[in-house]
Amino acid sequence: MSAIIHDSPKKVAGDVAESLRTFKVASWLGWQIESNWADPFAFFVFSIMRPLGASLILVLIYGAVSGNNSQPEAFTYLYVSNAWFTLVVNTIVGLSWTIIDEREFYKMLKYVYTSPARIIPFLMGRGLAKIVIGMLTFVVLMGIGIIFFPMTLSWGAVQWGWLPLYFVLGMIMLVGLGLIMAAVSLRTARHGGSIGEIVAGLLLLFCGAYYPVDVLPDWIQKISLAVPVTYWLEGMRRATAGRVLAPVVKGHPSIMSQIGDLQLLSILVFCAVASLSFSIWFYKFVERTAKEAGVIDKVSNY
Amino acid sequence: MLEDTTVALAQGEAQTQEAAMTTSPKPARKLAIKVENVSRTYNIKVDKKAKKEGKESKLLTALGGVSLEVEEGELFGLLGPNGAGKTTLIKIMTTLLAPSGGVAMVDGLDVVKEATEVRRRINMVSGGETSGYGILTVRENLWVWSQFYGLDSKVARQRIDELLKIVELEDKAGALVSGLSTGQRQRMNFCRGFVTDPKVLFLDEPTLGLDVHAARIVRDFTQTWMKQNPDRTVLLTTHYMAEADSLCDRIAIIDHGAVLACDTPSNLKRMLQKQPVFEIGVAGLNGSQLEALPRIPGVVRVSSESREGGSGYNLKFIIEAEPVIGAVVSEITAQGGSILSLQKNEPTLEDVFIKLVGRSLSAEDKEK
Amino acid sequence: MVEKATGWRLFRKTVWGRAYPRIIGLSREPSWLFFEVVIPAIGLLAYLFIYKFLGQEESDRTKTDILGLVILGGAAVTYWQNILWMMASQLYWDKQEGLLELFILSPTSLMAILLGMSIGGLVMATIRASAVMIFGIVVFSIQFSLEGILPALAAFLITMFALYGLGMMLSTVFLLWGRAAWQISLALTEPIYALSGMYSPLNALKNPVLVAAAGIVPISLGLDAIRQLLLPSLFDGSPFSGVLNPWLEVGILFAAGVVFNIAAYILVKRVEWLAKVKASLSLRWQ
Repeated sequence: MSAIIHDSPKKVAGDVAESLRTFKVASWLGWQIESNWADPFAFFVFSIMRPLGASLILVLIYGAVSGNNSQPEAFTYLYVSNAWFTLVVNTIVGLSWTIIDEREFYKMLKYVYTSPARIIPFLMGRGLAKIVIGMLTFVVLMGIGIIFFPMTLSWGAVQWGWLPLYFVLGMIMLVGLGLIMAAVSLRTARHGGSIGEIVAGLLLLFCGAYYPVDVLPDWIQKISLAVPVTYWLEGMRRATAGRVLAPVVKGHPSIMSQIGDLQLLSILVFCAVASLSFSIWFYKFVERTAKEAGVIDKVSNY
Repeated sequence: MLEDTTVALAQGEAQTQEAAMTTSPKPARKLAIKVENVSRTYNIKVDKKAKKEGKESKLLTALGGVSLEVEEGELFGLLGPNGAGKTTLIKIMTTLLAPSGGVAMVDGLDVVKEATEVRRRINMVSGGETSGYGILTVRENLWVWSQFYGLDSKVARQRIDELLKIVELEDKAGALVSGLSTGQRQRMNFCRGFVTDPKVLFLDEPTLGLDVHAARIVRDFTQTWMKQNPDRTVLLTTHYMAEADSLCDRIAIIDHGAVLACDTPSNLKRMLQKQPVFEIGVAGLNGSQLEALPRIPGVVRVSSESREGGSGYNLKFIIEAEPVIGAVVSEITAQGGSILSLQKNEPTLEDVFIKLVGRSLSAEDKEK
Repeated sequence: MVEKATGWRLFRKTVWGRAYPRIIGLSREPSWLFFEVVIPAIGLLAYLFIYKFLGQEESDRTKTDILGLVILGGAAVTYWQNILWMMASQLYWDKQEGLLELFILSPTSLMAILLGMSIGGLVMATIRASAVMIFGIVVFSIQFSLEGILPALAAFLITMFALYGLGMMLSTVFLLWGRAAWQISLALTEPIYALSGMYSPLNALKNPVLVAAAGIVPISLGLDAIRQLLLPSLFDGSPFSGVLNPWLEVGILFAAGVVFNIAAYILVKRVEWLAKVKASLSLRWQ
């Protein structure tokens, strides 16, 4: 019978310290990589240009169709959702792109793997810069939106209690999703962009980022309601606006308006726990298959 | 012709050794490369602290007035530590970089004013090169580059096939470049250098990353190509002293942007040791016979020590000139002694390098 | 020495040699069909649903016309991405890989290299864009005006002449901007999508100054002209209208194309010389 080896408390403490150290160094590294090509102001401007451009697309679509028939509530839905969605993109892409970056461009992934550094804290640290940029982007977008566009928001309506709660749960859930995409990236070649960007693009269709899910055909609605991000965006919209945005769609109460705050909270707690647990297991599983196939350091060169 | 080269390669070893023994200078030929007082400086941006102190920019001198001449038909070596200015000099000669001062001519053409014509006559292969279109096959990659030099496709394909055979890459001709190992890529890039049939070829550490067998193929092919095409010139940079010693007709040692010495490997070694030294293992000589050896005309000094097992002596002769060794051997055999071994001792190129540069290449790597 | 072509023969050989990897690459990695056609086409649906949410899907006809507007925009996105990633940033990436040094070392002209890149890129992008269009037509039953197909094709060719001229110009400029070029390419992605009217009609900008600024990117006017020609019922003033008469837009694009291509030629010579003097041409990580 083989011996069962229990980790001593000292070892566990050592592992935690090692993970924290890896996370700290990787965060610094991620920040350097994101920002060291320009001075801080230029870097900041370039960082928000893409999400600003994405918001501008929505503003122009709205402008093209609204004419004299303005729909401020619909516009607020569009704009607030899109602002929060930038965080979804930045988090998922931030983690998944790290694998591509380190493996294909810097060719350092193999050295990370052969060092004592813990890979999951490393990925989280490396992705942190993009996540922080996403948060700053949200603030800037909302500022621009409130100043320049006819949005139906007020400071007094913001639900300051729910907002941080939904936010933290959502970030845990998104980090989990990012880790799943990072695992997939470990086994796929580079194809123009990253698998994270592709999934983020698909999420745009399903998760009610630009429109209530009621607008979608029934069969797509079923997919939307199985996507955790749908609920998180609903939570962030509610907490930001202090109410359900677009509660009525084509004369009927929207699906999201029928979910209470506590119910929404339960769903988000479940999604956060499930996402993080599954993602860590999934990453380890895929990593094992990648090592067996010998592709940890294989460059696509395509 | 490349077919002749393939056959000649098999005989290359014997010819290489024979050539290495020859020290007589080649007759003067047309200059393939002429570098006259070439300098290159860079303006380095300073940080904010230095700017506050009133310093606008720093001037970095990569090359400070380098002059060299390489004759047509020479295999010329350029040795120097990292940061010496070798790459800067090569970039100037290959029209990639404009000199800050001086003139560089390749095949009689000014590298600045007649750059396009220069490019038609040259090619370059850098060591550790992993460049190439991953999505193309080896053959296709080489074909693409041949088109940039204006080769007829049919001629190019024939040359490609021949070159791939020589570097033992013919079984990978149809493989995608993305699937090649580093050594295979380097061999492919080596072929790229020759497929355009350049008049002057620049090899920047061409055997870097190659295994012993592949490196030998590359060296042998370079030498044989030059023998088959006496009007071609190769400028080689390398960190492998043995490679430079065995391949190069002449070597320039460069450091801190200046040429410290330029001569044949033998002459460079002779700088350190003017008189030849030979070690001879002998048996069958007694004490008085040994004492007579220093009196042989031309012998400067003799030292001896007993061989292991008491089977004779190891004698070290310092003589005035190489032909004297003949008289020494004759005297030993006339006295009834038998020659067990004979070896010429001379300083290595690394000894010369250390003497001139002040440190070895391996020490430099260790310091880093 | 082996005989080597010079002059126009060398130029022609270089163009073909440089275009070849891009054209043959499509058949070597067929996964692009999924990642760069199917997935983006599905993503385009999101924009259709925005229009639906905002009450624009009044009838089946309007629905397919709006989808047609969005699909044409999606096809245009393919070309813009090709310009940003396979043209503007390409020479910078070639520098990182060590290929740029080899281009400069060869006796051919950088202009021929750029033209080869353009032609190869255009073929790549056209195959991808066509796949997006076919996917849209087959799966979503989009109908374009049959009378507008040939005029739209003419407008498309002139747009490509201008667009790839801009691409060649950008690739030489980005070469000197170094690592910032990649970041600039990334930053310009969505703003250009927005201002060029890829997902909304160009006249949504509503401001003539903004429209003129957007017009610098040939895709804007080109797309507006092609949409007017292929979707006349959608662009009859209700709800959308074109910015200018499509043939006036094509004329402007032709003039812009001439300017961009000449500028690209001048810049190639200038940039090559400046890079040799500043020594940033073959230094990686700069």
